[in-house]
Amino acid sequence: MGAHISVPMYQRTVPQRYRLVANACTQCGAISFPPKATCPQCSVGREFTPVELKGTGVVYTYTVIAGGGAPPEFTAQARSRGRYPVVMVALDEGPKVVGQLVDCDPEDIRIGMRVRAVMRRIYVEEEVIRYGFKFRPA
Amino acid sequence: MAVGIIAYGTYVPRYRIRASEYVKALGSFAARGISEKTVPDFDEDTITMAREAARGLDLSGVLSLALATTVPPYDQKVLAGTLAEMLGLGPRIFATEHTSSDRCGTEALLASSRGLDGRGLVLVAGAPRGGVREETEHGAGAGAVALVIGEEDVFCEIEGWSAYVEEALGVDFRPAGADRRHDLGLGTYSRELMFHCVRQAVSDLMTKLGTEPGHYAFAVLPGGDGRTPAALGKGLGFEAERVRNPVATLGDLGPATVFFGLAEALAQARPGDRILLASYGAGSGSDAISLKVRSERGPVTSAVEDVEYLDFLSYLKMRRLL
Repeated sequence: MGAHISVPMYQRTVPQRYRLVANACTQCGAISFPPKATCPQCSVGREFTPVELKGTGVVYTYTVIAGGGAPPEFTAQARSRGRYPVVMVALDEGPKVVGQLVDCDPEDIRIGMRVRAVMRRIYVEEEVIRYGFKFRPA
Repeated sequence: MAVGIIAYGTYVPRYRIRASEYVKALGSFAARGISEKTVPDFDEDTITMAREAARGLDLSGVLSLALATTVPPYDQKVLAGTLAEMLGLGPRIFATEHTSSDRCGTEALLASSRGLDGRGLVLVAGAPRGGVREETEHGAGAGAVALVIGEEDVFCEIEGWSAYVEEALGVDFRPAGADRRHDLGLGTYSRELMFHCVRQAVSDLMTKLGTEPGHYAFAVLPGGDGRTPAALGKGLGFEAERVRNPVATLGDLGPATVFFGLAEALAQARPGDRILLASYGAGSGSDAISLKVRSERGPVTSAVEDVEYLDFLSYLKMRRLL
């Protein structure tokens, strides 16, 4: 079962999905991504300055989605390639984010390898194209 | 002050397929003179490629955005809004969208350069469309080019231009609502229409500027196969060595083809060199632009350097044709 994200919900996250806009806490300076209502670092900061992350970082950990393990919005993609890798990236600014890894065979993925964010279609639902970042080898 | 190019970037997907894979699978490959071509990944389209072409370019001072593609991901929607958000431009920018023929790239460049306020970003993207049983699909590649234009810090200026349009029926058209291109397969007829149209635009331009073929270091000429650009050049007075069109190794990139040719010419040009850029849209129209390289080229970005070749089956799956 997939996690349905309504169009208005997706719309609200467009800056973070298109441009990696994160929050910098005005209290402690910590950068959080995706942006949260309260700073996850100091737990008191509620005011933030938006900052655009560079999208560069290293693979912290990864998995390969295969064998019917893809959520419904990704089944067409899984069928196209048989499998696809998902990575957790430790961004240079600190936050860890999850995204797909493209332009790379699963066998070539290494923990610690440099990656950078690229723009791709994430999936299409209700005939609305959901664009967002993925990662590729840097 | 003349408007010109400040910086540019190109993007082609990582994947390629060789003509020989088509021959192995289907027995033939319909696109003359193309040895291999670029293939967009499952999750790439003209919007994502246009965004990647602009990656790394300094977009400060950009007040206009022009998108050119014949393969927009939506038939109706403000596509420039998607790109403006992805690129962090605006939202108070003037955005235009150019589509409907392969001439749309030069159309976007010329429309942006006239009455330009500040700097402008021109994005030209092409991608394949159509089923694999159709010969028009065989040559189709994918790629995008981004140009930052303006009046200051220009390394290559637009010296002059000329445009030509006329009615021409039945050549490389996509009917309303259809997903594939039609060509009535009237080879000589199509070719004569194209040559006539481009020849008019180019000769008008040279008359206007008082230039002749000998004044141009490079001629970037249209053509969706590997032979047309050189044949066109021959008729116009440019020998093959001066003609630039990367269709033989990248495939037909639609409106972006001549811009990849321009990128190739700019990479080889020296200050003082003139470049002729001519586009062609079937139906028909052609824009001819005379460019003059003023100084060493500005910043260039090229997004993806590595290449992976696909077999025919993987190609079909990636293109969602299977």
